[in-house]
Amino acid sequence: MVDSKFEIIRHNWNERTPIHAASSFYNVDGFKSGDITLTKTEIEEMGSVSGKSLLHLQCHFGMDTMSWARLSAIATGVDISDAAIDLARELNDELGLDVRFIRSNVYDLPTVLDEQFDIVYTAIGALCWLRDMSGWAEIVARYLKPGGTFYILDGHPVSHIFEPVVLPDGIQELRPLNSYFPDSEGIAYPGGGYTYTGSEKLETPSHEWQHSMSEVVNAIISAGLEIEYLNEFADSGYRAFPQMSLHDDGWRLDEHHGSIPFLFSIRATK
Amino acid sequence: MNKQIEINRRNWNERTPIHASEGGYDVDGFKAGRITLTNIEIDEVGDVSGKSLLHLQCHFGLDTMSWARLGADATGIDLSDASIELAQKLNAELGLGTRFIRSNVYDLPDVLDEEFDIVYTALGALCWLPDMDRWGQIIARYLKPGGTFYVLDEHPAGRIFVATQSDDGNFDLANRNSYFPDPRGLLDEGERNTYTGSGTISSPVYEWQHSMSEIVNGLIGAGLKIEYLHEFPFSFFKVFPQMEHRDGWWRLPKYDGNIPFMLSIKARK
Repeated sequence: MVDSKFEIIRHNWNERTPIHAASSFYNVDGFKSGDITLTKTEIEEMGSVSGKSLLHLQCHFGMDTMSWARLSAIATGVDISDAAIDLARELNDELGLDVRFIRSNVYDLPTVLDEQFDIVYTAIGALCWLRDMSGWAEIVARYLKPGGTFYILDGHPVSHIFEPVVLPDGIQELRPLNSYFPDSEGIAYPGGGYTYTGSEKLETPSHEWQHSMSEVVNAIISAGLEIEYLNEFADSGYRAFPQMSLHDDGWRLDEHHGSIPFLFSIRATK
Repeated sequence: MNKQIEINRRNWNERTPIHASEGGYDVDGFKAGRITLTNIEIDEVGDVSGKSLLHLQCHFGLDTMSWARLGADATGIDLSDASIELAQKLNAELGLGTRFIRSNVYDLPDVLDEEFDIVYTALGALCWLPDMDRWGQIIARYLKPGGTFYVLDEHPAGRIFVATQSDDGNFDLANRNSYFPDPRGLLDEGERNTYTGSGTISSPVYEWQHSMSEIVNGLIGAGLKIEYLHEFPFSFFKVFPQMEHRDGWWRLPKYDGNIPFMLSIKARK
């Protein structure tokens, strides 16, 4: 699939990788000293991965992939970014974790990998970098053994419709300024934006797509998987909006705003 | 919970004659042959000809009898005595051969022991139910193996907003309600207008919010297989006074396309 938008994304993530690797958000030193970077939700919902083959789609520089290996999975990570895969391999060699890393866009993976796995996994901050969910879910199904498990934890599409606004009296509000519904054109972001780990500016542009819950669910079903559950979470892994405060399970909207779902998980079987 | 459902039964008994006489339900139009179902329901449920259909929470049965007009062998159930009496009266008058049973959803097995080709529910139903797991189990209980469940109703994300004023004094939306369910429900004290217009309902009523995951998992947990989930950027009722009616649906021009107001789910046993 030749698509200049994925070239834009590849360059953008090449630029992000060293910034992320140096950030406290990713805490590479903690990982080197043995941290499991996965969330409690992922570990509980995935269950035991011991001895199972696991394919991690959109793995960035692989700390989550290698965390599954630390939990005894036979893990393979795939990412679009050359710099991310180079760094993942470097960390893997240094730590002797025996994880395989492959540089590939999700949609092009069949040109470089021909295998099936017990588990296909993808996690927070992944789907927004993919243009279409049907092609994605077909890839998921392609790489699952019969009876294999697909698991995803990612940002909830309802949370994506909101933008923070400050009213003249200084009150913070959220407004539903973005579309909930998908648009195959996506949204182009010019260079000069910030990445989520801190204050360093990125020079390269990027491109994102919104995916509704129905688009995600229907793609998984149409690819032949059976959904075991859909879960939704009021807590976010990061402070998405100013009017959030930190609770035991993460960042949550301050109570008088009601609640919105920040994350969802889906588990499905081939 | 039974106490809350009793409160709701009385509320819907009070609503029924008002709904039947105000313009929104257009009973005269129905008597003259109108199909009250929306184009989405008719397209998504598909051909019902010769199929047995159970309509849960049917109110006074215009939609149930519309399925009968489209060839279904239809049964409607509702918790309101007044609604079922009116439904039975209309059915007798029009000779539509539809069966109506007064029961709340959860107690239906006390009065009905059958299985159907289709179980259907729509447009303002889920918010009157406290529990989606037991709801899913009732649906599965009444479906034949291979039978189809279909729901078209409010989207949980459309229910988190309240109307507010922006800084220029114009209409705006603020997120104030919880997206996530609370089994205690929300009590409306009564003395409110019902959705058809000006009639005031003096009796209180309970409503419950249901998240997408609660609905989906309620169906999956009961052994149904989801065929699809659809989401729509418009509503079947005027959620906010600023909504405009276009092509049979209510849309909010200010944030048009940004908020899902309805969902539909088709599932198979």
